[in-house]
Amino acid sequence: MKKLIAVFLIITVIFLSSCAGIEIVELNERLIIEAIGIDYEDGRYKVTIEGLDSFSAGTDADSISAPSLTKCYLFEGETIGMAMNSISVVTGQIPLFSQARILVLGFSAAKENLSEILDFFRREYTTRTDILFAVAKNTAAEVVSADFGQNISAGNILQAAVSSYKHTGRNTYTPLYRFLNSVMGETDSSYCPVIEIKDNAYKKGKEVMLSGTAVFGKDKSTITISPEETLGLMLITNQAENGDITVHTPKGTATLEIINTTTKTAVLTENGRAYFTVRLKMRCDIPEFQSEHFKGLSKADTETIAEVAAEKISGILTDCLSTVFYENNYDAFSFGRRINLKDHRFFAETIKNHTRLCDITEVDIETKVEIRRIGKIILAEE
Amino acid sequence: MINIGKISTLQMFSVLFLCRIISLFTFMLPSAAYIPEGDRILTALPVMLFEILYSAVIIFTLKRTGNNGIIGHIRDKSATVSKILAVIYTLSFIWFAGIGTARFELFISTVMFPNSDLYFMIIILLAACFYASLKGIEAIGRASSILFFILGISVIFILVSVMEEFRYENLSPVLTEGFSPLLKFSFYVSVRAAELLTLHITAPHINGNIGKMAIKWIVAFSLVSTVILLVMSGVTGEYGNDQIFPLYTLTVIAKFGIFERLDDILTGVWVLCSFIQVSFLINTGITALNQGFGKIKKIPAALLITAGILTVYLLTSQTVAVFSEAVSSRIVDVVFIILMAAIPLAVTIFTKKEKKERTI
Repeated sequence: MKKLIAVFLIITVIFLSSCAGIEIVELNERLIIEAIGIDYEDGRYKVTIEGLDSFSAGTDADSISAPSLTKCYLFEGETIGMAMNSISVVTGQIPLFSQARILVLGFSAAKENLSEILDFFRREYTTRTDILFAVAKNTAAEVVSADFGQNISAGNILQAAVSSYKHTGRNTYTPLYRFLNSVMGETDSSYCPVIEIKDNAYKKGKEVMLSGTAVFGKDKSTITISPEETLGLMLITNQAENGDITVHTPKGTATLEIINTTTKTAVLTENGRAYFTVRLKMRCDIPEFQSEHFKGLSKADTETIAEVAAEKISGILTDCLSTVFYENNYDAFSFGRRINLKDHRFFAETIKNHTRLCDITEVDIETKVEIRRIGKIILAEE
Repeated sequence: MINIGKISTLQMFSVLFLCRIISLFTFMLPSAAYIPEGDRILTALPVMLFEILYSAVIIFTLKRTGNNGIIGHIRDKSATVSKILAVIYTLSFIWFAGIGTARFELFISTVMFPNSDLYFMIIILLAACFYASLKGIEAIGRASSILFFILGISVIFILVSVMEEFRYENLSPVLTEGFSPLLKFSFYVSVRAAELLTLHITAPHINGNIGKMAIKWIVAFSLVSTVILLVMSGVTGEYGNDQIFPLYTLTVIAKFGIFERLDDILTGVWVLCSFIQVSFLINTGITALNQGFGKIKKIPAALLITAGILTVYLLTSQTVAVFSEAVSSRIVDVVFIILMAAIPLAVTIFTKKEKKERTI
């Protein structure tokens, strides 16, 4: 009897939940958002949304034959929230932000209205802060609405492109919470990848190009660094996983594939200055060595290549540091945070006196490269 | 006296652990007490010291009262005082359970159903808690020990999953303004959790050494808290300090292979933790009334307590500002110290004096 009552109560509760004030939305009433693009023009936000086209997908037996898997919409409003609210009016569906893969801001919108735009994504209930963050070289609308081919979601393509940092090391990977953390940091400069859209060389359609990294200052200023400088940034901040570099030696040109890399940064504060030592250890393979002689590599050759590679990498790091830190005083390397952790008083004084971090900081770079493998070819005699 | 039942110290450990983790980690306390950012990760250690002090009072009174609990102990001497104490302690449990329910609603209405009116859902939750409280402390204890295991695995899984995102630079320097803000904040945290308070009432229903269990629980929870706070700070940095539901924020970031929505697991576990917390506090309220008034009817008492919890919930959950004010009110500090230490010590000293007079 007790069990029967329990079953009855559970069923009652399930049925009552529909009239319990809990909003129950069917999947086809949801606009599942894949990508969000935001531009700012004439005092108004222009929000481009790529959403899964659930109406079209459901019309045919298989969704592949549906006109398109996703659909793009443009909404406008005085605020992001106002623009987002008009989604339901236009589509008849309730937006579901939690599935969105990427948030792209138009370059000028990011430069002028960064904190205003970010507040919506920091505060709104259904957005998730693990969404990827990027800026478009031109407009976000161009990126999010790009035609990558039939039944291909721009959100998917953009996410995959940004995730390629694991293999190339030449673009940054910035989930929104990491970006927000640096925006909120006292001295940090936040950064994210820059996305560009270009025509495919062979087919009608578009393709993604990651053209570097946008670094944001605290004063609404911004610079874009090249993919090569981005590699420097990724190496200094110990985020690079893999990638490749080319080195030229008197015997030939070697392509080095980065297998693993570790960077350790130490700081010392003395006489009103901060001294950083960046120690980088890298292990590489040589999948290709172009030379006139078509011979194998000897131990001495690999040592020479490692030395030249270490020099080249030191150069990449130095270039990145001088462009980002010394020329523009952008702390994308968390130097300020490290000083704060090491010597809080020194840091507080620096902030209080409005001293530029780059004026009191010296960075010493030590790079060590080790060749792990030389491919399928036997190690040659000396 | 109605049969309330008995549980082991291990089960009590689980109940207290679940209640505490839901009180402290679902919701970031409003910053009525200031603390420098870096000191947050140290909070658990001074809280541990304050709680060891509270547990010293518990151990002392339990020794004097022969594990009878203060209300049961005073009843032999003064029925009126025991009745007054029973009502006071029950009201405090109603307050803590009401705040717990409001906190639960705040969480659900923020991350799960932002556009929904959740009164009916809360009534269903309270009805379930009412029913569970009638099943006695043994049922709650058994359910908690299973849930404790599930929660433990979930938290470990989440912490391991986010370790890849841990950055040393995200941490902030500690004790930049000395010990004072840390101690003030830790005291503020220590008086906002009802777990130790319940031991004054539930003591007669626990098998085993309560003092040892309390100390083990305090130390274990402090260590777990320190690890969680350290990981949270190292992963989310300044952004995490800004969040109203910090552990939830951490789980949103957590990813483990193909498992990408770990926050849903934690949300489910938290719903169950809330259920355990409120059921336990209703049950403790019934126990207090039973100890104070002698033979009471369980169902009306539970109904009365549940109605009280609903009232506190309705009064405190209207807006986030009202809720923050209710939680951070300094009156809570005074009331907690009176209930935790002043009354138990007064009862023990009073009964000791009486004993001496009788001997003379």
